[in-house]
Amino acid sequence: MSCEQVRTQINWYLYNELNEPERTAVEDHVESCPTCAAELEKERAFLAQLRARPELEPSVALVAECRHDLMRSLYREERQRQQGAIVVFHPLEVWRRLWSWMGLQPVAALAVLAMGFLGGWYVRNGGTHPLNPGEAQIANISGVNLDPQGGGQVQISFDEVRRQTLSGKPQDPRIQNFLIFAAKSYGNPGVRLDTIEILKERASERDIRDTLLYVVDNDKNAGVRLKALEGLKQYAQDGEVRQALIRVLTNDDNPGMRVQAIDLLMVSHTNDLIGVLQDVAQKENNNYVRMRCQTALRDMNASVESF
Amino acid sequence: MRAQTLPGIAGVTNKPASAVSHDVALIQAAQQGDHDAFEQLVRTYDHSVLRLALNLLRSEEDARDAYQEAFLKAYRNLASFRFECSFHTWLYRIVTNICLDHLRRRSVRKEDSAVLETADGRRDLFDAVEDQRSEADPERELLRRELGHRIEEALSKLGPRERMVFELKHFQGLRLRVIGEMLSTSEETAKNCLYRATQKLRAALA
Repeated sequence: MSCEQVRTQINWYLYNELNEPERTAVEDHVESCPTCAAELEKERAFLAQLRARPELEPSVALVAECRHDLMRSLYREERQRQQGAIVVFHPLEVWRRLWSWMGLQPVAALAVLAMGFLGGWYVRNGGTHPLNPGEAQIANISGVNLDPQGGGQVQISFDEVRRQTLSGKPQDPRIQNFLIFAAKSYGNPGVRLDTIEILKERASERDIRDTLLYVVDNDKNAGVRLKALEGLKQYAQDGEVRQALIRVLTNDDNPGMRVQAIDLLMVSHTNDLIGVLQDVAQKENNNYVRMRCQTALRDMNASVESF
Repeated sequence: MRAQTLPGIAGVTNKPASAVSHDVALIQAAQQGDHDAFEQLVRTYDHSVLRLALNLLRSEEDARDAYQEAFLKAYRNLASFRFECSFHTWLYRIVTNICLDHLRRRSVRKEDSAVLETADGRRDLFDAVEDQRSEADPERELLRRELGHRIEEALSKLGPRERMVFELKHFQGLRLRVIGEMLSTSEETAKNCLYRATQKLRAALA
């Protein structure tokens, strides 16, 4: 390889973009050519110099906030998608499909249409028939029988889904029960987040605090767990809360949770915390959490290492 | 004497086979509508996505927007992911395109890139970064800062695509082949782009 060829390859060599024979050729050449070796060092220094630009590392808090915002957006998106999907089962669509299905049976079709009008009239006049668009949605039509008892009647069996709204103060026992149920077991993390947001204002109550502790220990979503932990902030000195914080510090897989646990435990640190922090400082994989443990130990005038 | 490659450029390590198959299982589950699986994918990749956006855009707010937009886009289009490339490449393709749009808009506004936009306002980049060498010689620290500002200045004058390729190669340590895939272009084009970027930086810092 000539000097000219080597010069064109130096950059790619330093960027590790050459294949093995090309790398070897460059290395062999610079070993025996001081000019190209100097050129290689000059280029290496230039590229290394560019690393003087500060590299930004997203903080644990920023990552947690981004995740939290994303989960909320995904929840909204999913809710809109589901609402869109329900349109398929909207009563008008069901009627359209029935009409199409009965295209060759005009008597039955007319009977169904008549039933629709009568149903609407019945609802407007205070009846409880569920076929009122906007109030209930047909989730499933399980059967359509033509003329089951003679007389040109049509019998339709269907299941309906009805949305209900419950309003009340958060301290209303019915509302509270719903909130506790939603926080512990509702599938959508966005709903759980909104629920915890309400519950955490009332963490002074034992039931609510127990719910927040349950969420901190069991929720799969780190954003939800973090929110529950926020709600326990004022009770960091409570024995059960402290135990939960230690469990978070030693077991939670989310570094943001572990950092938050350290902060809360340090609100009123006692000597029994030293062993836990020393243990975590030794085993912790995350640099930032480890550093926070070490800082906490130093604040307590304790050794960073256990003996 | 064997020459060494550039110090400090972190290579991209291939994931172990078990991790890859775990990813495949998660992606397939997420494609079937499993929210927890998608959340796990987010947790696996979001730190590197945010880091890339933060370093490219030098603004926490823009990085947050890029993060949101990227994962929402990934969520909406997950069904179209056909395992023709790695999920990482596919996701980075989305992020880089979003960041490129930001950079293009910004190049029209000509913002000062030597500051970091944070929730608490604008901060000097060097103050925003925790300096591991705080006990270093103050004079040397001053020179380092000055050089850093000049590099920021020089980087901000690169075209958005050159800036992107340089960031992905020099700071993220990705292979040019992968960068080409991410930017939906060839390895050769990515290589030319990197070459131009390096030449411009050399001239600016001479």
